[in-house]
Amino acid sequence: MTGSSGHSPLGMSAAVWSASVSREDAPGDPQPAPAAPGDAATPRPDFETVYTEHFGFVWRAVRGLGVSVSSVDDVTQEVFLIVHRRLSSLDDPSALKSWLFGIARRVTKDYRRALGRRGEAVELDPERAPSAAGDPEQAHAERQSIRAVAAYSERLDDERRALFFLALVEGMPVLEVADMLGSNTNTTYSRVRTMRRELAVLLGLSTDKGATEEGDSHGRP
Amino acid sequence: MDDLDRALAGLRRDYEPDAHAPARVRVLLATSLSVVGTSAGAAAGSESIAPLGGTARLGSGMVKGMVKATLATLALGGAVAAGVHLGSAPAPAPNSPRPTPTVALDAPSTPVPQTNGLHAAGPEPSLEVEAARAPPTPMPVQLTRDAAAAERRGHTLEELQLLSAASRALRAGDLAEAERALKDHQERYPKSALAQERHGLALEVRCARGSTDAVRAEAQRFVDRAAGSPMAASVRKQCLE
Repeated sequence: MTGSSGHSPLGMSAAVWSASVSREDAPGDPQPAPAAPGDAATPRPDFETVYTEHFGFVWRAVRGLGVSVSSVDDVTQEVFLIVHRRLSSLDDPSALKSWLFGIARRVTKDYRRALGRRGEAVELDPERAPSAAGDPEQAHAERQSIRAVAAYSERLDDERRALFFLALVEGMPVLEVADMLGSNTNTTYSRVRTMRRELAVLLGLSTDKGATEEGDSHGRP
Repeated sequence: MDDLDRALAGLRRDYEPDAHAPARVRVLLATSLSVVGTSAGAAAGSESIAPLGGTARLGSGMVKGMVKATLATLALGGAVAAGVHLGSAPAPAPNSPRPTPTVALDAPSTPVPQTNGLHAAGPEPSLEVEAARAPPTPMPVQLTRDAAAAERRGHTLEELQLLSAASRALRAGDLAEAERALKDHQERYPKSALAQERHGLALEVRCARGSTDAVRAEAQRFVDRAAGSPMAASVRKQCLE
């Protein structure tokens, strides 16, 4: 994972910065500097390995960052096209996940921008509807809670939405999330706590239960 | 786990890709790349138009790997995965002694250089490993082999596109569209090596419409025949659970 020294002047982690640059390179633009030798302990994976091992993460990121079920195939493909093109310029293979997320974030942002202000309604995958075999009432309530949480994430700005996805949906440690997003650690903790508090209120839960916790010993929110 | 954590876990489950998603995206990638391999000699490097309007440059040798990997994911068991050469594809040219062999995805270790928006010249990787290994052959023969390989690849991609379209429509709940794609595949490729995959998808569509005892029995036979395959798991989930 990139350390603080890997951040761009704009505060973006090296991986995110690299991904942003990669999306903006028009034909004829100078290509990024050749890849550094990289960490000898972490060899650069080939494309197939990246695709196989990280497809799920990229897909979830694309969905979590606001792409509808009907478009997720196309947007995920766009991400992997860029991955294929830019993998050789990945400076730090140990930051692969961060790099992938940076690309997914950028592509998703473009997608959402192309949609314009009309946006999309909160859409859950119809295949994940609660099973009729379970308690229908409980399944319905659970579905409503999930929908409310999804709707909450829809209202977040780009940066907070990325934070929401990584910290709350993926359950990544806050320290790692802060590093991925190039954010101040304390600010990240604070934002995660605020999100949990707001979500607890949204779901009608006591804010004393879970919503104000500092996170566990692993730094998980 | 409190209610909030349950809701977050539920959202994460909602965001998980379905079983066919990796294969569908591979098809999209391969389709984009195929524009390169089949276009006007596609002299060098490759270029494809990405769905969102971006222009992607990729090694066209990846096409075959993509198709291979897609088949391995889409096809039932190892039978189809072991034979990339689809039954419905045209017979290989006389000079192609064997069907397309197994190839892993090419690693993008070499960036594609570009000059003024055009890709620098360089030999396009052969779509046939056999051709790449073979000693230099007279041009007409090579062209024939390339044409045959390109045609096979076109058929393969078209088949994968149709089945992928059916899978996507099924997942989106558009059963009529799924049936249309499957029927299209049936008409164009009646003896396809992916017929079993088509059958599995068709069963899923029928079960989605409301399974009857007859459909469930057929699904059970299908699952028994293709035990252990991703498609069997999908049919079991859709029809038998």
